[in-house]
Amino acid sequence: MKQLTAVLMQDLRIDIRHGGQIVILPAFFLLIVLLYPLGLGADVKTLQTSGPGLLIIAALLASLLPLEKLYTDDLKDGTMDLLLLSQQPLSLYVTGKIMAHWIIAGAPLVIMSPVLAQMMGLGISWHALMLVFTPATLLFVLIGQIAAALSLNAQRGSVLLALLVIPLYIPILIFGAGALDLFQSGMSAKGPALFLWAMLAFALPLTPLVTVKLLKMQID
Amino acid sequence: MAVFSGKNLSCARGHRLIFEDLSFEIKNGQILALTGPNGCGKTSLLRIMAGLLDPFTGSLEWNGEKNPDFLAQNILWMGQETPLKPQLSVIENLQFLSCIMGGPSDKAAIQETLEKTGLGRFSHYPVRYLSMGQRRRTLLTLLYLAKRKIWLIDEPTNHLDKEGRDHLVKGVMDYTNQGGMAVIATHRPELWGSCTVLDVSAFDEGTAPERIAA
Repeated sequence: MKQLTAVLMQDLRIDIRHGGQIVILPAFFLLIVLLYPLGLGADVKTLQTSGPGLLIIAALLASLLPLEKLYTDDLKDGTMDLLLLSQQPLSLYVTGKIMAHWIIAGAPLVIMSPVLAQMMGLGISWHALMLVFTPATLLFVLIGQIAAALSLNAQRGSVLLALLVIPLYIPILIFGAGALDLFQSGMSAKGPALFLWAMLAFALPLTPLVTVKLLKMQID
Repeated sequence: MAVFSGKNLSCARGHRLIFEDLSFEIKNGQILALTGPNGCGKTSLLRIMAGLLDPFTGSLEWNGEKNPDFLAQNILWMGQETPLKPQLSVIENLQFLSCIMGGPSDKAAIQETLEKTGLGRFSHYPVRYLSMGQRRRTLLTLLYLAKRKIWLIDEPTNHLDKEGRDHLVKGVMDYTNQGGMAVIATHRPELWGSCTVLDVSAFDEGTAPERIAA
């Protein structure tokens, strides 16, 4: 537990001191959403029909940005070697990394989603948005970090990472956009929303274990 | 008296055997110096000892018992890399590293150890402003903080000035006098007093396999 908080605090400290990350991601998210009315026209009807999907796609793209750096520093500077000789299992380290990453790269998107939905004129309540964006961004991080561990030693890792990850994000996109659509039309969105949470319940315990295996493979 | 040993180790990197049939043995209070020209496998041997690299053949033993789990938790590995985050201060870095290595993580204890390694007044400096030598010294502080039975150190005198080197040698001597074991890859075995010297290049592929280290 002490180790988990140590990893979490260290990562948060680095990201907050470094400054960039905390501002860049929300700004990127905002910019993508701002592009839609410029490209599609500012007609409220069009934006309302395509808005839910566009919002999730923007969050998906913003989540891709910071993934590459997740494990590279620790592998290159030798921290990973020490972690393997630590008394604690590596899964605690991975869990700490995931938590820190979501706080920096996931939570801001969740918090911004009601504002952006309002901007696009979507009739979705803020708690419906939270209900969809919370599991969606967590899943983006959980699945994305596996790919980050997989592409650690690859040249041009970021391109490979995007190619690996985007197909895996498709179910999140479909169910997320589906739920938001139903919420907007006032129908019950229980099905797709619960499916997102079910995927999260499945991914939460399993994805860190996969990453631990992958990280151990990278060290020799 | 504990004995850490390796039997008939060989190491393959990229389809090439770097050394083969190498055995070593080290007891409490001993220093084993690994020597040999560049590329002969000193670092690879250290990484095998640390369990970070699987040997091609052979095994590691603790008191004659094959027990890698126990080993991993009693080894402190210090390679050529500097696992320090440039954005964070010396003390924050050490708090993290000491915590994952099972040492103390309170600031007072770390500050006290930093005074001993001559970095006391730099404790709140971000690591990015430190020189390479100062970064090495920061890592030496970790050796004292994490109370482990075996130190595996890869060319520790790199980047260090004379004062830093003397300090390190004294630290290792004190540690082994108190019953610790140290394995050091070095080009200058004469620095380490009455150490056992193991020339890794003597186990180069194709040389006589009957040569066994002390």
